[in-house]
Amino acid sequence: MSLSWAVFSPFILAIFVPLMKRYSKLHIGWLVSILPLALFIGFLSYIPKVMNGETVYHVIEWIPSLGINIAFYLDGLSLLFAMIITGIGFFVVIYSIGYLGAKENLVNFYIYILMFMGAMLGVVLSNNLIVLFVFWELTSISSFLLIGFWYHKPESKYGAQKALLITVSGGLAMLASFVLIWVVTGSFDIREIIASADLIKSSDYYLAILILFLLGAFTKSAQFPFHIWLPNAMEAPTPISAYLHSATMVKAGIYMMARSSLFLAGTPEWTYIVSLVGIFTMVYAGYMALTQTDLKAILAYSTISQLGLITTLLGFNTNLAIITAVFHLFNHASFKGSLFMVVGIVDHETGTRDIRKLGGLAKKMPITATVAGIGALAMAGIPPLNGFLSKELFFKATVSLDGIMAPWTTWFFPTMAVLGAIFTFAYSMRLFLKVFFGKPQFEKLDKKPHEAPIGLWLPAVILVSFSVIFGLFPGLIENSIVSPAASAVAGETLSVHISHWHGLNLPLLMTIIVIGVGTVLYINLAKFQQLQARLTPKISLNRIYDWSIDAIPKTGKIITDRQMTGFLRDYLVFILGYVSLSILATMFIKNTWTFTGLDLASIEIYEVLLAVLLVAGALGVLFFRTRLAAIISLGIVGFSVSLFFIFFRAPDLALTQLIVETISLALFLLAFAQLPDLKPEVKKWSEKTVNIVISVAVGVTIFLLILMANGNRYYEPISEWFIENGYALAGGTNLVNVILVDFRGFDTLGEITVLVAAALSVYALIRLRLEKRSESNE
Amino acid sequence: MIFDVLIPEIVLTVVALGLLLAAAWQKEGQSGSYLGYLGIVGLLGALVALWPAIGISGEVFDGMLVADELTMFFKALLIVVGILVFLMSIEFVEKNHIPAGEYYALLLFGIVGGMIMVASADLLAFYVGLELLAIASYALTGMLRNDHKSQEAVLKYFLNGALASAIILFGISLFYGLTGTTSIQGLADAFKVGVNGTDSLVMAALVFLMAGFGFKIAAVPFHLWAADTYEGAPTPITAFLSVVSKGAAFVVMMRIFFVGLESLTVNWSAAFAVLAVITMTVGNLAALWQKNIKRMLAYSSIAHAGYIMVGFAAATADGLTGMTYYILAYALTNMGLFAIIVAMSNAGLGEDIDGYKGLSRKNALYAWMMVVFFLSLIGIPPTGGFLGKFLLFKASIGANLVWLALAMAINSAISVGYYYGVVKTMFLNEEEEEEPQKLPTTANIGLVVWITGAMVLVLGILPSFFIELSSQVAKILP
Repeated sequence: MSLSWAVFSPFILAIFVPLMKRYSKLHIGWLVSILPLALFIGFLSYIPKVMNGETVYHVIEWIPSLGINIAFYLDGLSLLFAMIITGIGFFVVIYSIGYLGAKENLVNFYIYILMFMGAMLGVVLSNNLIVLFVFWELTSISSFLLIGFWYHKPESKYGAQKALLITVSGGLAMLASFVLIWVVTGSFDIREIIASADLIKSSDYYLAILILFLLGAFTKSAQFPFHIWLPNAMEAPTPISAYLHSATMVKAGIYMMARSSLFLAGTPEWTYIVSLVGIFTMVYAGYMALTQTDLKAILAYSTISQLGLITTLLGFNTNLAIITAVFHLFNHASFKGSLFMVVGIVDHETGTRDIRKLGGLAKKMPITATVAGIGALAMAGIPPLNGFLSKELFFKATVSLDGIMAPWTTWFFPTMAVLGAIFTFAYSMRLFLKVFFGKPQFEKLDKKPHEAPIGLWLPAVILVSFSVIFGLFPGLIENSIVSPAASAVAGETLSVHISHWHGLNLPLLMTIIVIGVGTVLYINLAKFQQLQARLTPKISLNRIYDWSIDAIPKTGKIITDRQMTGFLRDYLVFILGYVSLSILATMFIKNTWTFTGLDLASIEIYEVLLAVLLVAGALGVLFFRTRLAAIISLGIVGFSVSLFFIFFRAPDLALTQLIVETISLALFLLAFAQLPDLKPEVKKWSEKTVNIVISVAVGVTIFLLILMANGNRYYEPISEWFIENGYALAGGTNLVNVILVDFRGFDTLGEITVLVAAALSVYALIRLRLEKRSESNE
Repeated sequence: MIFDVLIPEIVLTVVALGLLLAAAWQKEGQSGSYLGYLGIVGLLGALVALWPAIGISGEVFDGMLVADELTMFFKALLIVVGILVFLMSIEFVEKNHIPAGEYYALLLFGIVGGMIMVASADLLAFYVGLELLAIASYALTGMLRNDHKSQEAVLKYFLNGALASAIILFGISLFYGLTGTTSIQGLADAFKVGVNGTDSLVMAALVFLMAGFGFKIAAVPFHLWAADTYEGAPTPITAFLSVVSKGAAFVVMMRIFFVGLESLTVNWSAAFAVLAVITMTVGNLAALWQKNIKRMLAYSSIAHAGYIMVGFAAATADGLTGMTYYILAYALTNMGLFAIIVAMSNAGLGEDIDGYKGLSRKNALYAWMMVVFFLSLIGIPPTGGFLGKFLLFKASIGANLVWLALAMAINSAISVGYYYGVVKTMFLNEEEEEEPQKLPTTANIGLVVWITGAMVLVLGILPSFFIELSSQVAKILP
């Protein structure tokens, strides 16, 4: 089985799901389940190879010019994840057959789940960061589709959107870190990047890379404060919660941290950020789990808490911590997966997930109760189940930080770990004892509870049996799975030996404290919850999220309303304002108010008078109340300009200006005669001020620019050349004529052509009008 | 040499004049569709005529026009886009009683204008191309003569456009005064030899040029005309404006800024970085509120101008490649989207997003293709838009502008909001009573949708060839 086939086969199968629906009488889940099983067996067959330290590499050229190739790589870590993805995937598909009735949109469900499976395999097998990113975002999208599977429910839509926004944004931050890594190392290839790990750690970008990278990992793995999407994601069908939001997708962030430990971890920044975020998440989410009333919400917070535990371990990055992280990852998948299935069964059979309405189900559903009991005890860390083993190792890791981190951590982490474990113990007990042994209150239920059909409980039983088997015989996976995976994370071969009894030591004492205090806490849970209710702060992270989600469109509305008035003059305010502002600002910043080289003639009194007249005319256009007066006022401006031309001895220009001015005045009058009277506009002073400021700014800008342009002369004007060569080359003494008919003869010809063309069109228009008129007269 | 390079333009001009003549013989009430098909034949001819010019590089008309990888790439793109606009126009023109001869001829003139722009090596030649394109665009925007919106659109477009032209000319004249040349290469040489690049007059000229181009590409704060104009213009023309006018302006900017004003890179790249962020943010935020799909896409296209400007902010060969690829992906995506909008409006479903309710059951092809196009606009794999965005993302980080890359990422996330709104409307409204009336796919628009949809996916899945082409464009760099 080649790796690319493993990744792409779910996508290919997804295409055929609609056909299966059409041609198969069987529930499509049965057909779909074949693939994860086959893949799981395929991955199993890699175990001997990987145990020997070998790896598998497979590459397809994609965009070689950018160094982006579809490269797949399988080592111990990838194999562990691939087996979890396909193994749990198989059970979840089987479970979903009983869970989702024929009325549901099964085609969509199985397409999405296959898409997710392929994407998730792509994440854990990719050796190229960009390809990995593509699959990474694909998992977010398929998770979005699956959370929103019952899209008619508003909670589903809300949860789906929240999950998508948070995880995709994190993914984009991660992409930025990948590109920064490329800037530093010149490669997107994970193997090559590991080879240049020192380059990354010593580069100036290290902190930026680390933070952006962790944003991606933390959002995906629901670490504080990005965990808020996971409880809302519980709106998904329960098989999905079990699969994506507990066993696989949320562990993608963990995977990324483990995968990158060889080129990012080991620095103080990594150690402190990752382990502190992790331990805080673990304690906080454990605490939150105690307040929840929805069974799935309890499991959601429990998942966040357990992910926090694994994150903490990856933060420590000691060999022991890595082994424990890998081992716990595996254990968590088995007991949490089965607990989710139990909750799904309870929901399915009783019609509610509200822990306050449930109780005494053990008699009615003995098998489910057994599964729940084993799963909860494993989660609480009770021997001899696998959860006990990994929790013991976790305690051991927290007490062996001496010399690795600062002295205060040697008491801080063990204390926090015990606290988190106490919460875990208490909510595990609550989950199990309250639902299955609490006071029966069947009258509150919509359905009469009885044992679930075999299709639902069998997958749960098989999953939870792993907790027992590997709890009793950890040796089964020590060397085959845990050791290769941990070695891949640590970069050296780690030999693993997991046992139940280490003698009377600190971790054992911690476990005893946890069980003791945890039992007390469980018994007094009601009082504790009252305390919690009083402690809950008013401002929650969810409120901040909701507020910012609202704030974005609101800002958009403000921006739109402000500028998009539909009035051209308002548009002009923005445009002219920007242009003059940026020019004036440049001049100011660069301090270049130089007007040297100005060659100014002396100013005569009649010129000043004329200028005053011109300004008065311009102002008149603004203030006259009738169109006629305004147009005449505009005429004054034009005619004053032509007078200026006369003063400066440019009679030809003056003549042109006079003609143009006269014609345009006449045209204006003709056109405006048809328009209704001017209405006096009432404008606010603020608007008027803005208008005045903008017009003054534009005037000042242009004025200064012209002065400067005049003052900075880089080249001799061409007029000198015309004067020198006019007679010699063209034989004419009237320079203007020579320029028009000789030097720029073609220009003049062109102008004449344009005039002729325009005249022809005018003629055509007049003819058309006349013809129409005569037609209508007839 | 001249003919090798200019045959496509000559072919198109001749065909355009021919269309005008043919229209003169057209009888009232006679279908003008054949004129559209003639135009397509002309465009295909021009595409073939590009062939001999492959690999030729050099200048013609005393350095007024130039032939190189950049012109080749974008001329081909312009012609392809032209074909797509023609295809989506044919039914629309019939339905709305638009005078076919003028419409198609003006489109061809506009395309020729765009081709002159991308091939110009001189500020004046560029200006001529710009005006040819702009005047054709003004006329086309107002083609729906009895539609008030169309008339408002053309008025705003024309007044703003005229102001923009004036501002660009002002900038050009300042540069001419400073350097004594209008040749783009000449500008570069002048700045290298003597002209002080930090002179505030140079800065003023730069501001004028950037402001004028700001109009053409609808960058904030010069974007205000865009929404009104895009909404009011005939839909195929909206597509034309959002791709041809904008794209050609970007290409000219590449040459002017990267080649001509290379010595001033420090100044303009910083300004572009700021404008890019403002433009993408304002565009995306404003788009969130739109109820009319053309208006929404107008703002989305403003936001995309912001993304493309990231390439200028980076001011590197990677940035140039990224912009080229982005424009390619964006052009094809937008063409596909607008083709569907044209189909909807031909079917009388209007331009309000509400009209798209239940489209997934009326025409599954359109609905799913719209999803593909939206994915591309957001920048989600496996579409061309993703790679375009990725290349720009990479370019900006490579140029030490991590904050700009993050702004781009955040903006992409915001843009999900409004695209998703349309998708939700298309797919998730099932309270409707019985099976809705089917909306058949018509041949021309179906062709556009299939071509663009396939290309958008090819650009996302098998991009190697096109990335190679895009990186060839960077050869214009000195």
